[in-house]
Amino acid sequence: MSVEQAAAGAAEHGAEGGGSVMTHLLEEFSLSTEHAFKFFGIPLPHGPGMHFFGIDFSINKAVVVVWLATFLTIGLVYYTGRGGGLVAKGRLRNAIEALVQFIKLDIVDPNIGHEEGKKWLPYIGGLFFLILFGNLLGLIPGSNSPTGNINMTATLAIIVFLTFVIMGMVKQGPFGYIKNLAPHGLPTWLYFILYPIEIVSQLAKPLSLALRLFANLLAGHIVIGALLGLIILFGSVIVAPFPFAFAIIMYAFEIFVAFIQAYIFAILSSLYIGAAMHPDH
Amino acid sequence: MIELNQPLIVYTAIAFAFLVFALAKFGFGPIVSMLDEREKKIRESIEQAEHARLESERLLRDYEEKLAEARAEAHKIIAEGKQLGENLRAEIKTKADEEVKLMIAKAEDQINRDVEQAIKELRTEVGDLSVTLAAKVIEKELDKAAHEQLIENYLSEVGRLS
Repeated sequence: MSVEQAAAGAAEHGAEGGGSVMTHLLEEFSLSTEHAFKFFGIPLPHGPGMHFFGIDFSINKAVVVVWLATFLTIGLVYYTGRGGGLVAKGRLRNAIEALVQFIKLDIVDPNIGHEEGKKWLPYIGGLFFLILFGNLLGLIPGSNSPTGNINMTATLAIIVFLTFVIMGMVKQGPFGYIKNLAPHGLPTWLYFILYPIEIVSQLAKPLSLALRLFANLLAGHIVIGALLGLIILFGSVIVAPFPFAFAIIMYAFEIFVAFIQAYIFAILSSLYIGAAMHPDH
Repeated sequence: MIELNQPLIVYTAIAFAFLVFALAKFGFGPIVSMLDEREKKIRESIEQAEHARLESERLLRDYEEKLAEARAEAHKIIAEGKQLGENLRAEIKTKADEEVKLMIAKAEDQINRDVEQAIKELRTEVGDLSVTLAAKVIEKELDKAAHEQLIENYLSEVGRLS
């Protein structure tokens, strides 16, 4: 057997291996296979037994991570709030407090306003922490990133969409909100063009929120998965360190992305809500 | 990924509603009030520090003023003392001078008196001697030669005395 033949054989074998790895990887992302109902080996309740009122309440990996993120947020915020004294004690408390202060001063206050911002802090802060911890917990190998799934991001985006539409209608009146969608004092015929554009732009807001978060997170996971898949594809000790090193770099970048995406989602939500509440601004 | 997953939608909505409720109820309140209180505290501390600084500056000025006053006072006292000493010295000197003059005058007076006294005494003595001499001359009248010699003797004696 010549060297070329051996190489071709290896490549063929590698391609098959890589293909199965990618299939396997995509199966891991899917929430409809049996994989989705095991979280680190713990079987999760699912199936027809979990259907109530015609709604599927099955618990899958992503749902577990959503709830973990929820309780982690409540726990950490509660822990920080009970720090006592004027200065937070401990590094964890300081870190959470810095995040809360950042959300308050840089996300909520400039967009919604200082006074009204107080009421909106749990909403925007909840979005931020839920997405942040969803992103970060999803980075743990073997876990699942609910924020890399369109179902979660779309749900949050639709909640934000409903919030700003309803707040706009509450603050400006149902007709006032619709009237204020387009600028005043333009020729009548222009409104026939402007209103469709404005309505589309209103709908584009939740769509972009949902797709941005979902696509960023999913892309990050796929890139890491593909880099690690290269190791199996080549099956060589000499090649392996390079994809591995890149995967580590990408992993660090994903941690950064986790914060950035949570920040973007929170700031855009507060921007939309603030704009609906104060149309003149 | 992108296929519809009902549980995740339902649970996300429930979890988010629960999270917002929990954070509003007992989450952010203490943290925000802690931030506000700390801000207030820091502002107060800065104000207090500023106040204390102004106060201390005022005190420092006060003390500097007092110090300058005290220094001027001390200078005045020293100058006065010097003046006093000078005056005293001059006074004592004039007094002493006067006393010396007085003493010299006294001494001269005494000396003059003594000299006069001596002359007076001498005169009395000479008178006495003259009388005695006259008596002696009378005693030895017979002997003219002796008489003469006696006068001679006596005169020479007086001459020696005077």
